Amino acid sequence: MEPNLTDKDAGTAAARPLLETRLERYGAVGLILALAVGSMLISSYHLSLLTTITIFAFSAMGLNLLSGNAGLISIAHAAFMGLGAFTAAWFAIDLGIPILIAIILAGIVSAGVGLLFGIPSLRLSGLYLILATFAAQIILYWFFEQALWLTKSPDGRFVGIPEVMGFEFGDPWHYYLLVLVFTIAGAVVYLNILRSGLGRSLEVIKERPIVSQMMGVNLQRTKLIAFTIGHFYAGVAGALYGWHLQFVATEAFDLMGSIELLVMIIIGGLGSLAGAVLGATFIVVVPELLDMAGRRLVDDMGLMAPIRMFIYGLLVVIFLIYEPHGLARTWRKLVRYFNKKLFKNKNEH
Amino acid sequence: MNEKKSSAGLKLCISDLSMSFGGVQALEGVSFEVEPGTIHAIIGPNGAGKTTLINCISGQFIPEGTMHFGERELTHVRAHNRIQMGIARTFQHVNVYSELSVLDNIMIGGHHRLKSNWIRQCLYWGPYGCSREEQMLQAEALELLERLEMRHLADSPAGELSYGQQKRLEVGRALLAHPKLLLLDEPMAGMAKQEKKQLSDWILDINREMNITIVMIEHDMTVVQTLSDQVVVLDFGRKIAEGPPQEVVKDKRVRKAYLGED
Amino acid sequence: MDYFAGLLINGILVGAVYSMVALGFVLIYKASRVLNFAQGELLMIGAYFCLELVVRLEVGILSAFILTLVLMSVMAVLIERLILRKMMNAPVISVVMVTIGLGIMLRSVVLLFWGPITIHFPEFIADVPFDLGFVRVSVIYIYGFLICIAFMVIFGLFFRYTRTGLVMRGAASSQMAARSVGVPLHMVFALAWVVAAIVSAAGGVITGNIAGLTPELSAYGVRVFPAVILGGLDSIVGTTIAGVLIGVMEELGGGYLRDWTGLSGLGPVVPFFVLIIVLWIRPHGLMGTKEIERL
Repeated sequence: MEPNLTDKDAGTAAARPLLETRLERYGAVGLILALAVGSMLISSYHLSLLTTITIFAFSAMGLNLLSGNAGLISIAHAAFMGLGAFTAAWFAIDLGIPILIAIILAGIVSAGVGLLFGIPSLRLSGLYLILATFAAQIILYWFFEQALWLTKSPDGRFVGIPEVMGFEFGDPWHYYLLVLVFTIAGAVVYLNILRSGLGRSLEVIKERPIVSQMMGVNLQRTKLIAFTIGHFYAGVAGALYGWHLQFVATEAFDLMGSIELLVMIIIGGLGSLAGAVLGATFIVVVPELLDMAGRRLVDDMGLMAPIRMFIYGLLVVIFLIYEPHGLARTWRKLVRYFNKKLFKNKNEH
Repeated sequence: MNEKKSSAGLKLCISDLSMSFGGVQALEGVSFEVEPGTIHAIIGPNGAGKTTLINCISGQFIPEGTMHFGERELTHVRAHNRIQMGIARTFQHVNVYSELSVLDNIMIGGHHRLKSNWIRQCLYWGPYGCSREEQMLQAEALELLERLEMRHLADSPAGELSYGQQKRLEVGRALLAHPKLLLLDEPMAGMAKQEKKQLSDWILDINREMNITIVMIEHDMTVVQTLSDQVVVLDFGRKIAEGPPQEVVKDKRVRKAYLGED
Repeated sequence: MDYFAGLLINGILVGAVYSMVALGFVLIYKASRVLNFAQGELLMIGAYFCLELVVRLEVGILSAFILTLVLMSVMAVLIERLILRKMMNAPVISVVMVTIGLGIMLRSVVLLFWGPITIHFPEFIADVPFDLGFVRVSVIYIYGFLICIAFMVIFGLFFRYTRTGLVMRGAASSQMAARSVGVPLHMVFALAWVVAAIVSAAGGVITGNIAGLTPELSAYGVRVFPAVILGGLDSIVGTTIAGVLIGVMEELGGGYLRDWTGLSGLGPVVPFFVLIIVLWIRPHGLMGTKEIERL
């Protein structure tokens, strides 16, 4: 066996930083502080929107890892969020397991079921996986409507106010902080994956699966890991979403929901953290803006929904044709530009 | 496995290898041996089965017959495990990951040497993280890039490199795997004379200084004659001659099948 | 017995429509490796076009039907030209998403102009039951079924005996071959979209005449996925058979499994269980070729 990588090989290379540029590092800290404090000051409606964005950013990270980085396209991410939401509620309320543990368990259940539907793709090309996940979406949604022991009613179930170790998250701001902590942790793990050998192996199986096998990457194992992590994110995000609305609505996890998540990472940018965050923000904010504009422009509110839908579809098509790399690429260029301006000579590399 | 310096090397024994694709016999009863520390050239006209042979050794196809690397029978070792046994390769058509950086491309070669499991990779830092070995691998990769004269390109996407650089990158990627046996599929194809000369010297270095056995497919007979210790000639999936380059060139069947075409 | 026969006949008819829609889907996939998630929307919009012609413009049903097919062909060419041609070298995920985006747009158009309500075609054939001997079927079912068969025979012949048809079948596997026969590649792609639009629209008109029109018709597009996989993703014959099988499975599944298991809404879900099982044990379907991944 070859000698392992040991200390004597250590050269001068610095470890890869979590975030590439100084601007991003300062920016991230600033953003977190701004969110934590700012969320206290805004109206409850906007806080609710912000919480939704944060949860969907978390969920989109998982999907981006799976579909953006590893190229394993899933049209069932919302259904796995739903699975997480219902199982978390079941663990916490029906079985009385503490909420934080219930949330993690929900992630594990989602990951497990995700693996099950991912198995066919171990031997097949990606097109089959798209159809397999599609089947997962249909089957899971039907399951939510049927399994009343889990979901209480076909429309969903109430989950009440979350309580962690005696502390009630009655104040939406407190709950937002909890969501923020989860999302930051998720983001850190995502960035860690991207800069480690795992991230590399995900990227290479997407571009050249067979070559990668001959370069020593275990294709099946890598895909399984991607399924596990991606669906874990979905499950946890679903659980957080349930307690955010205090009602787990089956409807929220339909096919359209899954498509929206895919649209997030496409418009945001495939395979990057910025893509997940920007995409989630875009998808939540733009319909709000459209509604605001619509209220002024369209008299007949019945027409509003189809018009919104049309613009939504059009945006997807236009983005894919004219901005196929999503917002993240533009974002990245801006960051690099300003980083150069702001931190001249101070940057390593 | 043996902890000794790889000078001991491992012998590759191919015996009675056959492979067919939907009725087309790509390889038929091919046998030969590669002594450790030598350079072996495989020549033959297009469609002779050369790349198929390399693909069998590196695990893309499962042929009939047996292949031994040292003591171990290779045929049913899965592709991703063969690199761990010391078999690395390059490809006829450039197969770098065009969207990844040059550094990431080359680091994939050392992927099988990373021992951290995926949970540790998610954590990255700390005693249970993978940062230490990542750092080591990166340092080694950068050092290798230095030797390839590509250090300044480490952060650019591999797709932006020139053809020659991509070919060099592929060899580097295979070297980072610390192979005992290196399979080169037409490493010089499409290169200018000067580049060929440079690459030839480099292949000799790899063979002599790093003590790596080399099996390569090559069309340029000048290169074959200067580099190789042994030549195997394939034609229509069969081995028609084998021996030192000077002798093989004289072989009548070889002249007819292959050199005659030139 | 009557219950069974009724379900069976219904299943075969629905299945025939599935076969047609799946044919369109497989055709686009074979020609250009695009998974068209807007297939159901083509069916839906085709049906609404026909309705518009019949109700508002008072065109006879037959002329309206033919006009619809012409309109749909034009639309298909436009879609291929304006959207998919720009996505030729894009990654799979982008191509899938662009068809989904397209589907959303088409659905919103229907909602905008016709609303979410169910609209019925004017009855143009007296709805007399037709006696098949063991069971009586509504005559419109018979017509629908015959139209499906006619379309499938026409396109079957087209693929088998015309050069263009042959090229279309093989275009995805060898784009070089397409060029060598002298059929431009983009023509092949456009033609695949045209045929897909025609068969879907025909399916839409038939279904719309039987069950009425709602935007929900677009669901047909995704309900053919199991048929496509069962048939083997790239086999036209396999898909045709699988379409009928899936239709029958849905009806019998919905009819009997509900009584046995007490679970409702099983009908449309059964095929998706089948899809997953097929992917597990026989991923190349009934008649598809085993895909060989190459470097």
